[in-house]
Amino acid sequence: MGSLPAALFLTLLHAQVATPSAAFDGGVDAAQAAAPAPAPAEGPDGGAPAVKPPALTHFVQAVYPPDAEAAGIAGAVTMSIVIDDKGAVGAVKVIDPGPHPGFAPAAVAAVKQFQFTPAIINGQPTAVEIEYRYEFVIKRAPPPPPPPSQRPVSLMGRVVERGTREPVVAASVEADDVTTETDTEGRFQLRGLPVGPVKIHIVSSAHHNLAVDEIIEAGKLKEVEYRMNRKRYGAFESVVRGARERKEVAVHEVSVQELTTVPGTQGDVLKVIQDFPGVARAPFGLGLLIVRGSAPQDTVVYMDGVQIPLLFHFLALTAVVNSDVISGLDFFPGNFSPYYGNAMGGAVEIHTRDPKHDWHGAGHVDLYDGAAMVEGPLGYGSFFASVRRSWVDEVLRAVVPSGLTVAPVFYDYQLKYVQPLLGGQGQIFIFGSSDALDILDSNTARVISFDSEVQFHRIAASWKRGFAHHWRNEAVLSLGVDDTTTEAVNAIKADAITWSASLRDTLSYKPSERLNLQLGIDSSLRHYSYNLLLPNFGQPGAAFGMGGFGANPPQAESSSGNWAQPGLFAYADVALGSRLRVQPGLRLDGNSLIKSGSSFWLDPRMSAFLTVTPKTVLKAGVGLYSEAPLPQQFVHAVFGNPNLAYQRSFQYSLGVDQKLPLDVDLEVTAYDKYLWQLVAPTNLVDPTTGQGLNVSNLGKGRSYGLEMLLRRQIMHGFYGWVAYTLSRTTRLDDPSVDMYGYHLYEFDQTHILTVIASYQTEHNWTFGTRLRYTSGDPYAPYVNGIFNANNGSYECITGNPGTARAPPFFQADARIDRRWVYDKWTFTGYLDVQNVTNRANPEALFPNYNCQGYSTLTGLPIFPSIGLRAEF
Amino acid sequence: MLAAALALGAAACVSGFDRNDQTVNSLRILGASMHVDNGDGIDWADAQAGDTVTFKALVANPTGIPDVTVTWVTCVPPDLNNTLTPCTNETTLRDPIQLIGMPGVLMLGQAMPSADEATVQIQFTVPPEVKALTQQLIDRADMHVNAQCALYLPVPVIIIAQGNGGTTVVTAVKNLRLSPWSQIGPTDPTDSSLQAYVRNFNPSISALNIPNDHSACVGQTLVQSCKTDTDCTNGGPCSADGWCPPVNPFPAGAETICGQIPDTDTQTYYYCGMDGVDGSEMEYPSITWYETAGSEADVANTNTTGTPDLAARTFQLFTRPTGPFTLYGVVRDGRDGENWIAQTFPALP
Repeated sequence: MGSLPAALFLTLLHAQVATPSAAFDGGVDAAQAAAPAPAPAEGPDGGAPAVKPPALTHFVQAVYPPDAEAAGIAGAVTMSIVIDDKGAVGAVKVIDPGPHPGFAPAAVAAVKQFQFTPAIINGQPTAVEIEYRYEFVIKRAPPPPPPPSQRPVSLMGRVVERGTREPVVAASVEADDVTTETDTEGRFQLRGLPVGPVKIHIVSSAHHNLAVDEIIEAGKLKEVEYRMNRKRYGAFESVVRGARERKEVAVHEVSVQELTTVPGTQGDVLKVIQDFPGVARAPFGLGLLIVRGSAPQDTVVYMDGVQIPLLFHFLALTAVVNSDVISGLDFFPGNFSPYYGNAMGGAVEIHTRDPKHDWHGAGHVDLYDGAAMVEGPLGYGSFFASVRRSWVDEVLRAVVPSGLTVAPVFYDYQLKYVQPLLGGQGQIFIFGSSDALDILDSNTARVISFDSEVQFHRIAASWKRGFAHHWRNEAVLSLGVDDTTTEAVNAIKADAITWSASLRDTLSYKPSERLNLQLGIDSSLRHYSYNLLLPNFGQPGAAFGMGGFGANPPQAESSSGNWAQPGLFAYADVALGSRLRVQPGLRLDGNSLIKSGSSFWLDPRMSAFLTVTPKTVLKAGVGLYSEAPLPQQFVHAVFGNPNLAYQRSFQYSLGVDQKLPLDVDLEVTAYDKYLWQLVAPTNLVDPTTGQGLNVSNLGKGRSYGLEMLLRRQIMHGFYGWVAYTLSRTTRLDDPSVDMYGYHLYEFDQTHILTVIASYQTEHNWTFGTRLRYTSGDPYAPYVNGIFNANNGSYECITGNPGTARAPPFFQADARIDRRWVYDKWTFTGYLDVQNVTNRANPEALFPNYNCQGYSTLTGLPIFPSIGLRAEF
Repeated sequence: MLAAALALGAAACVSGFDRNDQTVNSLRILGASMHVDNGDGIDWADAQAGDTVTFKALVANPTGIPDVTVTWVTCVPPDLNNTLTPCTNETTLRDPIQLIGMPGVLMLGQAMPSADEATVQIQFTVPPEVKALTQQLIDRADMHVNAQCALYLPVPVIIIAQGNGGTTVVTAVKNLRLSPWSQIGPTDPTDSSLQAYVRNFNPSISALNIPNDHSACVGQTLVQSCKTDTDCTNGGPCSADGWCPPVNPFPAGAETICGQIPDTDTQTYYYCGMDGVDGSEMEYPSITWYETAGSEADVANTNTTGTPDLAARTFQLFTRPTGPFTLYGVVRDGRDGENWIAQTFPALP
């Protein structure tokens, strides 16, 4: 918005009143009346920075247009104004000119002379853009009031939002020419009201005006509570965006409101990640994050600084975190800062919010699961507790044939407690997730069974505080366990459990806006234990079932041990002049399991931002990004290769951020990524043991492309974005397997286009749509079919990989939300329809019986999903 | 991924899937088997060094493609851990003809099917070098208890049928199980690591019947197997591939047919887990039916007595054509044991 180099956007709506000068009562106390509504007090790490909004210190009254006054026309002008980091008013844009043409020029002229205290974000004065409403009201001049201290309090109370019971802050409360404003808890007092009936007028920018009749009795104090209807429920009119210091060349941040109403996601905030540029579409909508041509496991996911092993429950039906406790997320598709390490793909940081200090709760049900959340005060702080459990198993029980049991069950939970601690803020966060799937087919004499369970649990203690003016420390210590169990008939048994202790601590020194230094530790200790019995899938390049699977007995191994993953990072943000910022950084990572070469690696990184014009920022990033192999790839020789080294990538990107009219932002980023030392299947043999090495570090790859994001942040109920990626990703296999040279990566998608639009009316209806188009995935076509007399089927022989491409994917989704608001609670229902055109999208190609043709496995047909939600 | 596949199967749709694989209307190899005669009257499927193996292939040629030649080749892997050979290499198998004469590829033999027999066969003696491989199997079983149940090496044999001057080529693969059979099981009870593998023999089909119900393949016999003419109740003659002339005409209309598998052909074998033998189970032989004309459908399990899924494994609902047709039934035991029936029925009167 506007001309803000820090890409800061703060939306606050204020009301100020102008009256005809002849009848003006001496003016309002500008400083008091303009005290802005404080933004939600998100903690410094709660996903948004601590914010102190600007406060009006010098008010200039607008000239009431004489003809409007003569005609008795009143009304308001809504403007968008930029307040710089000195508190001065910059650009002023009229959003709503009001009912008279003379209002807007008069209001603009007055507002340009205003003076504010600057907004304070994370302790620093920061430029912001706010919405400001200037009201033209015809008043009669009241008699001079006595000094406030001499007036008795006649009416006191609280103004809360209907349904959510949130306090309405900075609302104007007026009765019989006595005006006051609600405080941060929505409380107010009116002094000196006349005895008898009075009409109370309450005005809040985000709410519908409220008028209440009261009777004031002599000598009695009346206490009341008023409930105001919000114009758009769920619309975050006071959301702080982009306030983080700019450390990333490409970062996509979204608010919860945007996240929860994206069509096709069933309100799941984390599914939205897959709609951003740089993310390839996963087949069947599975929750794989394929970022800039990297393998899914190359992207790391953190929640409040704690790494978690998976983002979605099975089949990506929903995320492993209840959306009710999420305040927002950051998604970094590449060239991210040294804050994140051991990842060559992208990084996702999920921010949970702080619990509220009043009692609240929410519950929702849909086709897949149900969830409940409660929060409130506890001791010196506050807490929330949330739990979700699926009932897909019950649904399937009703539809699958008798004798076949398919019982998928998942649950997740989050428990968080926050309180002041040692001059800062401390919190305990306990969360976890479990997915279990049991399949039993007793229709045959040879019973087919499959049991699998994947779960993780974390407990994290964190503490953060600032000290000595320019210093700040944030620490997270977490303990966790990942447990995986799989058993299928008598062929597969896998039990693996990993215990972990992790520490992430960031020390910041920021003596001025021109310099910010950070030093951090990001380390973990792990203990693993596993038992494996797996089929021998044969050697790479062997036809399936021919000297491969089944040729050798299952392989088994048991092992346990410990490993350490030390990590350090350092980062500086330096302003060189008024337009250029450079951000050098260094990341040191290690892995004690690596025995080949160095166990440590150093990744230097650098970003730079050049503000060309107030609306145009050029950005560039370059750096090394490395990643240890997966533990199972190099723990033991049976299934992996103990002599693997770490994998490496070199990434650079260039881009531009451009502010456009109508609150639209445009980001364009070109990226290029080289990958080497990739873990890849091999036919090489250990010369000392004669055993096959299984995997080697001889894979290579490259991904390059152009990403574009045209986005309108939520404003006046509307938001939307167009995300487009043009990319090409290739791989080079291990030389002992490779016979094709560089070939297209299996998830290479040349074109990835997503269009999202959503609009919420003032009657709490929300309509949205999502359109997606992607190129089909490359594949190796079948070139021959060999009858396998061992089982009566055909073995399909493939040609070179990546020489054919599946048909493109297109899907249109639609969503309708309706919220009903009651005094102390709200109720929401939604209809989310995926694939409204019922397009048969090919998700996979299967050969016909003799591999001479293909049949198509299509994806989801038109699929409506209904959800209900209540919150108090 | 299995979970994904199963669940997705319910939500997604497969279109254009070609299920017409049981109607044979071109040159096809429908079955392949290996037979070892150790003089004990058992049709063994496993071989070891020095055994003479009869390699058979069931080659259907309903359109009468001329000059069909069947070639058997194989590749012996250098060791148990390195099974990637030209015979298993996907790149080579894109054009299997190139295997014939390729270095490292062992030519087993070549034969031409006769006009009235779908079964074609050759014989080959397993070379003594293979003994080193079977010894590796024993060594592996000594080191890894979970390998005791897999005391065999399946060596893929590639079968190439060419006709019409080489313009028509079809290919099949069949595993030849190499096992140190003379040292396993009761032969050498002193070595516990050799007790858990049961040498496999081929299953057989003793009769083609129209069953009375789904509990067993017992009912009206259409064709019965034989070794000599005297085995045939209708006097024979017993064909070269061991079948009497049809006892009864194949009736018109939809009929359930079944292949009778002698109970003695079902072996019990052991399966291993990480700690060695986990248990035992019986083979569940199944029959795949093919025909040159007519239409077929699967038979569901409806009986609650007898072997529960016998009907699904070995029965077929079949509607014969009015003209002549050939019916093929290939029985497999799931352990590389295989046999078949191939019978031509005359047109309806």
